[in-house]
Amino acid sequence: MATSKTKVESQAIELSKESFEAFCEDISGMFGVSMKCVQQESCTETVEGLKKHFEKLVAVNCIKAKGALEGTFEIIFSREGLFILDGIIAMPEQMTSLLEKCVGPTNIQKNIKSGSLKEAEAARDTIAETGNMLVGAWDRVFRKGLDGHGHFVQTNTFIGSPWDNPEENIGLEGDEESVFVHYEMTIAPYPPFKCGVIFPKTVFDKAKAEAKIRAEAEAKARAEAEEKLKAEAERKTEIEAEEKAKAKVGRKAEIEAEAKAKVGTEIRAKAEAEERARVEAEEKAKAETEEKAKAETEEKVTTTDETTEAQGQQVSETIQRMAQSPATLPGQYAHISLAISAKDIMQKDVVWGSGDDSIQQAITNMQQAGTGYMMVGSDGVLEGIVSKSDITGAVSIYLRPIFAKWRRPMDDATLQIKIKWIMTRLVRTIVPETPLAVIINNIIQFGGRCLPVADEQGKVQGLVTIFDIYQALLSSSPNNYCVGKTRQAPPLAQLDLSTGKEAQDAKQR
Amino acid sequence: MAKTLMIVDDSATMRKIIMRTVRMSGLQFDRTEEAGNGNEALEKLGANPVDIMLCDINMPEMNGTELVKKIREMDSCKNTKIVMVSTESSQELINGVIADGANGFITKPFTPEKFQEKLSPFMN
Repeated sequence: MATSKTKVESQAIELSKESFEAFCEDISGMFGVSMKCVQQESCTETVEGLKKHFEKLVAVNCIKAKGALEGTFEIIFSREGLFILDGIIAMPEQMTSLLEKCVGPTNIQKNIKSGSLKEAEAARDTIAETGNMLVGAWDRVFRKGLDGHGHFVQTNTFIGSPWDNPEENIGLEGDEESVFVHYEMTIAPYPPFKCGVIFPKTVFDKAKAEAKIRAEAEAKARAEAEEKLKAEAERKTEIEAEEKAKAKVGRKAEIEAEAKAKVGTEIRAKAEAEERARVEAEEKAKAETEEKAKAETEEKVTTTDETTEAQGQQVSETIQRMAQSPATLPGQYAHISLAISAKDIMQKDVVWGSGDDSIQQAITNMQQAGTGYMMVGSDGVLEGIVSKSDITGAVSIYLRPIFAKWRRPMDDATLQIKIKWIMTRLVRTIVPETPLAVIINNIIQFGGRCLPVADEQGKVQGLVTIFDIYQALLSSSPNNYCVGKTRQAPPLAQLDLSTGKEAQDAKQR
Repeated sequence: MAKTLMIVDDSATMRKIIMRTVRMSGLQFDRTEEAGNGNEALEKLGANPVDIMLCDINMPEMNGTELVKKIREMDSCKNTKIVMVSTESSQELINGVIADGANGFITKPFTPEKFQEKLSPFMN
């Protein structure tokens, strides 16, 4: 509280200096004089102490303050100041001549030396007006510089000696402590004179009380803030503990996820290994087939023409026997009707595509036709054939839904491989009249699961697959039977293509 | 053209100060009068209207604002230019007295230059 009071007192002292300076400027401007004011000292005095600073004859302007400063304070001028101000403010107009200014009016100098209470009383109106001017200047300065300042009003002008009865004369109690700020004022060409402001300590009481309330409020706010901070810190600790616990649980989940991922990786690796083994087996079989085909070619039994030729000349002995007499058919072939030929069992609606088609296009074509093979070429002339197995071997296994989690752009890129790079080029064909037994033998001997059927001009007429053969065998066997449904290989549509529409369509089919 | 001036202020010292400052401003008047309160001013104006009146606001008995209203009710003073002189300078106060019929406002502390500036427009 003492600090706050000191602060208000300090502000008041500082502003009183500015106020006196503002007053000097006002007087200088209004009356064309040079006037200045210098602060001498500031101290705490009782009436007894104040008496020592001023003679018996003084002028006192009592000013009532409202607002931050509450109460009456006094502005005091020494006898010299009283007469000089009176002379300057109320001097006859003719005395403002340059000459008079230089030497100073005689009556002012005379009053400074020996002016009595009588002469001083005559200046009352001027001193009162001086008080009004002081209030104007002080009000301006305090309004700007002191928060909560209300206004100043001059309540009394005292001329004489206030010290005999200070309470009645100027409102100061004898033992009351006041803050006294002493100034020296000069109005050229006259000698400097004393003046000052007396702030009774009670003037600061309101500010003191307000400061106390403010300080208490601040202390309360500070305590609340500290409490809030403490609560926040506690909450933070709790959150950190919770997070720590969560992290612990999270780490456990992470470990579990890692374990799961590990299992997934193992499954994937296993699937890859299986796929690789299958592809290798297929490639091996393919290579063997090609090798055999090469050998066959050398023996002139593998081309289309040769196949036709073989029908009459170089088919295997068993087939020859089959062709000659059903009775000679060994074991399981005994029931095969020699009347069935390729044209009877072949699929006539075959799918065609270009070697420049992508795997994706081929898949779409094959899915739409519901077949596992696509002829590659144009105008019925065969350049190659591509099967579902060829495609399965060429595309990434990660395109399968089960591996969707690990699917990468590179896997999708395999769908763009051109058919010509994966198709079987050396295509063994048969003529429409090729008997079923020859077809079976051909397949058994050279591998593969289908044989395109071409006419004498080499144009493809249809396709015979092992399923067509099974169908024919079942139809021709007297004891054929089937329990339930045969398990089918997964359709190509199960490959998870980008749109997914094909998969849906295939499923519907 | 000859001009007349009246200074209305309850402080004789202030009337003197104003008179002195007006003279220092260089403005010339053929006749100058003083009044210590509103009633004295109305009485003098009734007898001899003036061209320009400098009037304090804070006066006992009748304040400057009331005086302006009464003067504006007088036919003889309809051409009198009234300039208020006061330490108070809030815009609200200035707008109020202008609305009541005042023609200008001079704030204290004033200088000869300020009188020159504010009164010159009414001298022609």
